[in-house]
Amino acid sequence: MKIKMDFVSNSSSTSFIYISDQQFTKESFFEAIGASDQGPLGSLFVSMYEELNSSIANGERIVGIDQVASARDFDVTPEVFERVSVALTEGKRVVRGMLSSDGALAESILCMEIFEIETDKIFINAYPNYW
Amino acid sequence: MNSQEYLNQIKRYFAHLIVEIKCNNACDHFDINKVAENFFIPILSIVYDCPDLKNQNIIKANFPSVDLGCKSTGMSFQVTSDGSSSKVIYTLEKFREHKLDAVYNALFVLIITEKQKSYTSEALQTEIARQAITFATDVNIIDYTDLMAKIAAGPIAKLKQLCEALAAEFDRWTDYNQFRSDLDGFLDFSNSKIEVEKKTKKYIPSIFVEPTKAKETTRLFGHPVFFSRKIEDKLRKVDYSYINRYLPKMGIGPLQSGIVPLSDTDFPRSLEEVFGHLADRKRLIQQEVKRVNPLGFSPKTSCPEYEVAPEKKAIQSLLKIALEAAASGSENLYDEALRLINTAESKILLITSSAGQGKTNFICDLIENQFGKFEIPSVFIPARELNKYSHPNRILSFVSQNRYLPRRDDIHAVLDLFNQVSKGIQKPFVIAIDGINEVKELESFLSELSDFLNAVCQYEFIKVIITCRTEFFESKFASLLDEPFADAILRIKDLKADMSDESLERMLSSYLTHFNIEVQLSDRAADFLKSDLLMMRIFCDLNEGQNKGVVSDIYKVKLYESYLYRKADSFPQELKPEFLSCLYNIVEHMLSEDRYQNVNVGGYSYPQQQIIDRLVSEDIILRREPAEKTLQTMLDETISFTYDELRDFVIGLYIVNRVAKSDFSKFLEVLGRLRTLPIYEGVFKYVYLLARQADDASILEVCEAAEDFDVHYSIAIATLPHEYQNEDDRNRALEYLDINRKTEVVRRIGIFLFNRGKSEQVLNRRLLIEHINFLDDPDVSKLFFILFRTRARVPSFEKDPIKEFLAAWLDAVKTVEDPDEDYLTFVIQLSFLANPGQQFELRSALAQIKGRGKMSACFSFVENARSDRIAGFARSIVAFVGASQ
Amino acid sequence: MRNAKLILPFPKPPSLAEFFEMLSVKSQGLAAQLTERVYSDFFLGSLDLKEEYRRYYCVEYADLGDYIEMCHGEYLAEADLSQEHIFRIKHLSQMVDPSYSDNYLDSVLESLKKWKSDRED
Repeated sequence: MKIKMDFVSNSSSTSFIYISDQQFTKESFFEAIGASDQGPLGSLFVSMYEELNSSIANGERIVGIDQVASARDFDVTPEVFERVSVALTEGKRVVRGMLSSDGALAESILCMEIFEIETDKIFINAYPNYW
Repeated sequence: MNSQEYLNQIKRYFAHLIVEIKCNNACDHFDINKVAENFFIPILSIVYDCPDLKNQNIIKANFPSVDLGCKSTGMSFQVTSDGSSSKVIYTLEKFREHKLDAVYNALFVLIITEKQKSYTSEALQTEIARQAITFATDVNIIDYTDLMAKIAAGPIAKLKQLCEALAAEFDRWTDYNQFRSDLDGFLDFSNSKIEVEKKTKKYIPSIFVEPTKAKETTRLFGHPVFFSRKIEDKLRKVDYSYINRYLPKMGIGPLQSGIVPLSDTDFPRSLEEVFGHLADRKRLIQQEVKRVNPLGFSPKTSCPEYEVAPEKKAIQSLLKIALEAAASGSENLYDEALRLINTAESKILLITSSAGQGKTNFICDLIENQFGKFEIPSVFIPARELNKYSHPNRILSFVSQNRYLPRRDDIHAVLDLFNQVSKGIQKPFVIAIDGINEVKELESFLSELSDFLNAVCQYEFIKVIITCRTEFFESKFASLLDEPFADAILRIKDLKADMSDESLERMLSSYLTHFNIEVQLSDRAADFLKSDLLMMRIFCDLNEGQNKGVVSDIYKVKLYESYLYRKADSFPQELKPEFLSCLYNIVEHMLSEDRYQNVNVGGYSYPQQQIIDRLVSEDIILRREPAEKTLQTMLDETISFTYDELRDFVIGLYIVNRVAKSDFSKFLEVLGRLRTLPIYEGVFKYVYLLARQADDASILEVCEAAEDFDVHYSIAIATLPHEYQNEDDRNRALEYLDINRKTEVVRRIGIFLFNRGKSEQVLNRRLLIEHINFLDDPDVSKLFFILFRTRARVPSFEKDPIKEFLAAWLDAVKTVEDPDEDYLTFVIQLSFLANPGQQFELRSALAQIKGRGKMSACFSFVENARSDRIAGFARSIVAFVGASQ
Repeated sequence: MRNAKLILPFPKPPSLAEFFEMLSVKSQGLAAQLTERVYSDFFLGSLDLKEEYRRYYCVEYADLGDYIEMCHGEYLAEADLSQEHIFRIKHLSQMVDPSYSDNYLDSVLESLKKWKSDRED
């Protein structure tokens, strides 16, 4: 639970690490988060997908492990670092995307939430948070 | 005993029974309901003449539908504490299903607490229609009031019989009787003092609006056994699961709380046990705080257990804020629980607030309603009554007036008795002293009070509530906070802190009802009264029993004048002529000493002293002040006007009506001398307003020539009754709207005009929009920025008042058929300052209105504005004709 | 005193699993993580005024409606008062927070309403 602290700043942004060797599709996202686009919250999850998708598309492509290393303190945990390094050797796509709490509701919720998405198709780790 | 006394006694028994049942049920102690079945057998036998009434559950366990039955009369009773329709339906269903109509021809549902006001449920009517017996909700659903009504009509012998039966039942089931005789006397005595407060209108129950927060405090303070369960509720909310979601990720073992909250059934039932339990809780909570605090936002200590391994530093850093939030959340709950424990344990509740904020109302309501309903024994002492007794035994002497109190010679003997009573009924004994600032000899009373509180603190079950005006407390009683018992004091500083607009709204309508005033107040007039409780009181006092019709504006100057007149008129014949001169005396005194509060009124004539006494006791016009006493002044009163504005008004009245008329040069001198003082603004305002009303040319000339007259005028004009507005005001208002004048003047005049929607007054919104239409760019933008306290470019992180104003209008206009024309015109004029997005919204909303055709004058008016930007926007609105969007 | 963001009169609340089901969310994963917060706002972190009245306020206030009006500044209709629970909700997570214009509060309330009426039939 990341707490938005108004007295510190009005907005915050967080980064996440995305790893996959496949296209980031709506179907794979819905499967991974356990939601459907039909339910009462369907449109919210669709927006979340779109926000993540565009964030991945516009994100920083990681091609060398030094991009993930200690450029910023504690950007990633050793476990994620390890995954990135394996993924790079396997030729998978690794991206560092950004989310902002100023955006639409879907993006803002994702920005405030600590989460990890893991299936055999995609991996997203959104622990890091900057204030 | 006569019939009435028997009835009173019976009522008291029933009232006590209801409290017992409600409290027990509320704490999940349902055993009392079983007791109640048997308790009511002899009672119902007498009331309904059914001598062989028997408990059917004893004959056959869980006998369906009815608890009590009498074969010979055919009557049956279901005894229940649940007064809901569904319970009645359930009883009737069972009665029908088990064909009990073959045995009984009548069924009564006896609600042992209180029945509902009405039973109108459709399901109930349907079930009644299916019954073979007759069942009417107003006859067959009964509670103690029906039993009393039935017996009241009967012979006195029957009343006596019932009373004795109740006494016997109470003896059998509770130890109530043992303490009853001591208690009833106290409660009656206390209530009689509250009745006095009601008669003198110091306490008006029907206008009392609850300060919710303060009342919640007094609940726990006054009845720890019942309300300390709330502490368990708080502890139940503490949830380590979020903390424990993060800790293992950092390689730290999960936390487990050492506190297991108690259920209602398991919660201790006696005062001693509860206090023991609370002490125990405090210790455990402090231990838990030590565990969660180091993980929170502001750790006081670090804890070696939470050191993480080097490889976990990264995840610790990433989860830091989340973990801190979870830990601090738990710590906050613990802090709140500790505060609640402190409230329950406190011995002295000190309520301080400024004059007229409802301390007496609060404390009387507390004793009458909260403590009364829980049968918490209390003694109410209006502190001014202590003046009748001598030092150092005022409190003891007051309490000893109570004829129910066995003679006791010293305060300890009295307190000991109270403590015994308290222990017997498991509720604290509360002594409430209201308004200690009203005791005349404050110094000596302070030492008496301090001794008294010291004594009280030696008795575990006695508590004290004290109210005092803030300034008195700070200047005269503050040393109480340094006494050894200071830790036992809990202080409430502001009773009105949690008064919402709804509460004020309710208070205003209760006031109007109480004073029997028919009136339709405009929003502005209602806001005016809600903004100041004293105004509310004065307005109601003044208009009691009248039909005022529509009131769109209330003017202080008129209100004060009428109120003083009314007050003078209410005085006895011999005091009437002295009234005004007494107030003028005080003012003269103030002017000559250059001191506008804390005036010593020693040496005033006897009638004037009497007037002052009466005004001080009401606390509306004058109030007493604490003062250092010397040998010379020890018997004198020191007073101030309760409200500064009323003082300024009286000073104004004095210099306009008395000084100026007798010696104009003195008038000039007085006004000139006040110029550098803080009271000048207020006094000047009333001088000007009074002169306007009297059309006194020479005073007006002086006023208008005064330095900063435009500032004073912009303040005063809003309070000048509109019938005195004239063409000069119109010209002056336009002159003062010049953007090159002081911004405060421009803003005040502009806002004043905007808020006057009525075109029958000389100064109104129309005048403002005409002025705006007359201005060119960029002056018109500047005027808007002044009115809205903003500037051309507002950064996105700041509030933009113009944007907010327009957004609110857009929001409101959706639901309004015909907007006010001048308001609409103003919006059209202002819209050019909106950002492009908002302009788009405004244009489409305005296009719809324009399309309806009714308001076309507004649009064409703005299209002709001198400012190109304003006119341009207006012309860009294309009437939308068709289905609404 | 009137600081509730939402007053929700409701019969027996759904279980967390039922709540997920009505919102078409699977019990594991990010969607569940987010909707569980809403569930907790509504049914765990809230205060049940009916229960409060029964446990603490029935002695002082003649009926439930009086209590809610006096202590919480809310006026409830008879039908709402007769519900089994009256949840006073002070905290609403971002997804259902009315201060976000595109929030999903209405959708969640609508789902609850539908679930309630399905069960009543």
